[in-house]
Amino acid sequence: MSGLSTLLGKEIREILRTSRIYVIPGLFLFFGLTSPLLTKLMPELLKSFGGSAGGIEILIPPQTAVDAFAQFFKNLTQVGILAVILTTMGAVADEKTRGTVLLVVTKPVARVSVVVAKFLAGVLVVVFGTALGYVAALYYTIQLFPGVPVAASLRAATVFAVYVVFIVALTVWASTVMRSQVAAAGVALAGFVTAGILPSLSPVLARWTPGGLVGLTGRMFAANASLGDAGETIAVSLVVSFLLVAAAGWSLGRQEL
Amino acid sequence: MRPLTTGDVPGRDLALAVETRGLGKRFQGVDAVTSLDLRVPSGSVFGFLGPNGAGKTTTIRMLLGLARPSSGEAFLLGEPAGPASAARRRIGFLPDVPAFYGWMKAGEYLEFAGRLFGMERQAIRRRTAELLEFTGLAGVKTRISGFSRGMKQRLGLAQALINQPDLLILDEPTSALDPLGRREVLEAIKALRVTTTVFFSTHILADVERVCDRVAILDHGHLVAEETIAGLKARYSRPAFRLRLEAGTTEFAAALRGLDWVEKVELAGDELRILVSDAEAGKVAIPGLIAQRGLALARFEVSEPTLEDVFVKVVGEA
Repeated sequence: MSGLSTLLGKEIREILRTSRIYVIPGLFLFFGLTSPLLTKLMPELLKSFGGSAGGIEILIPPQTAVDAFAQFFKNLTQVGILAVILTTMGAVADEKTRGTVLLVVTKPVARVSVVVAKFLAGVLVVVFGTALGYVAALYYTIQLFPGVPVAASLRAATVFAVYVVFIVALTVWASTVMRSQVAAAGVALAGFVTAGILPSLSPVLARWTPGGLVGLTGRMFAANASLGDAGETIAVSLVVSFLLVAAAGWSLGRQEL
Repeated sequence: MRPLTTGDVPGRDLALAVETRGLGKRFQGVDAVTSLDLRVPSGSVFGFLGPNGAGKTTTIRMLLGLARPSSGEAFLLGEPAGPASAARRRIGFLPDVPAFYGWMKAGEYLEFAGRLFGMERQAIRRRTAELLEFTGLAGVKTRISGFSRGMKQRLGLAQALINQPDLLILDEPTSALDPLGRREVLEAIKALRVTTTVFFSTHILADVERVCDRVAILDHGHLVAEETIAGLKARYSRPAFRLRLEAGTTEFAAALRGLDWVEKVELAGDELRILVSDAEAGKVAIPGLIAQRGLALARFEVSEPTLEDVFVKVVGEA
């Protein structure tokens, strides 16, 4: 994969020198900071809402640290994933549209390196963002709730990280096979929605498709849960991610630019 | 632009730098390039001419592996052309509208390009400094996003030269430049001919006359001529005269147009350019006609054929 280290270095510098470094890590950090706080304040907020809405009594069980993490991962798997798709959709498509890729692929560079560099740079951003958001969520949860399940939350964060890596691979693939950013976003969103629907169709699909990871983040908090419970789904997701990147590399190698 | 040091040329063979055999490209049922047989000798400055839409850029894209040929094959520096061609290590390429990463500065981009060629860090630094001087971009501190089109074109030329290529492929390299910038790029191309084969497409015929040894003319995807400029002129140019009259130029032009041996009469300002089929007849008859009509002659000369005449004739006949 000639040129990979140079291209990856360029991608990392680009992320650092443009606003991209602030978007995903910033958003994930925001969720990390606000999810525990909102969870803590939710009963009070609902009570005041109920009071002003004509005396409706709302019964809310006491909020726990697990609820705080559930809120955090819910935000990540919905808005967070959408943000990842929107910030990654132009990865390759934008280079093709603007023509910057021409001066790269006419040099002694393997075209697959272009795709792999985009994927790895995307992975670095989302993993860093996940770690940042998780640390913030953990810190605030410890501050606001008793009995924080640190090990379980770390397992859930790991499961989510694998899921978001799959989303990056899916979006980079879409960005490579499609001609425009908008088309790439459409294909990636369709993939994201499909990945979300498949686990609800059967337990087998929940276990053996990447979308199953979303449900597994919650299940990591169950008693006696271990990362091994998500082993098959993690393995499948990583294999699918690899195949998506390989398919993107193959596609770019055959494309007219 | 400052003079540029060029690489040494040990053991350079005299093989063809670019060769195509029956190369063709078909887009949605239309032949953009048809059965193209090109032979570009190493060490030449080769002009690739043609009107807009003739297939020049498509040919270059096929040579560089950016488009798949529908038929035929191509070789660069003896290596098969294509997306993974081994020849890419020895080639420099400047597209007609080069696009860069706007957040980089010129020096950064050149270093990036050097690393893609696998050059040593020290060699990249040395070459980058040299090329920034050469293209007049040394000392430019702004990011590429703030560059004018001419500056981008000059940076494009610099990145194409970072690896001291054996073959430089330029697609319309002077089209975005002002007259001074154009002259500098053409001088640079002239200087490179010692070590580098230059293959460049253009529709600016004056540029071709200035620097090229050989030309190929493409029209509607077909190769209609390929030879030296002198050879083309000898083969295709027609005798021509330039004259200026004190008065009655328009009427005289109209009278000339009716004569058998006059092929074309062009009126540019107060000057007439007359293309004839028989030079000797023209030399005798034109002054005779002027005298016969009692017109006062201000200027009369036998005109040198231009590449434009050749181009118009070749493309017109094709």
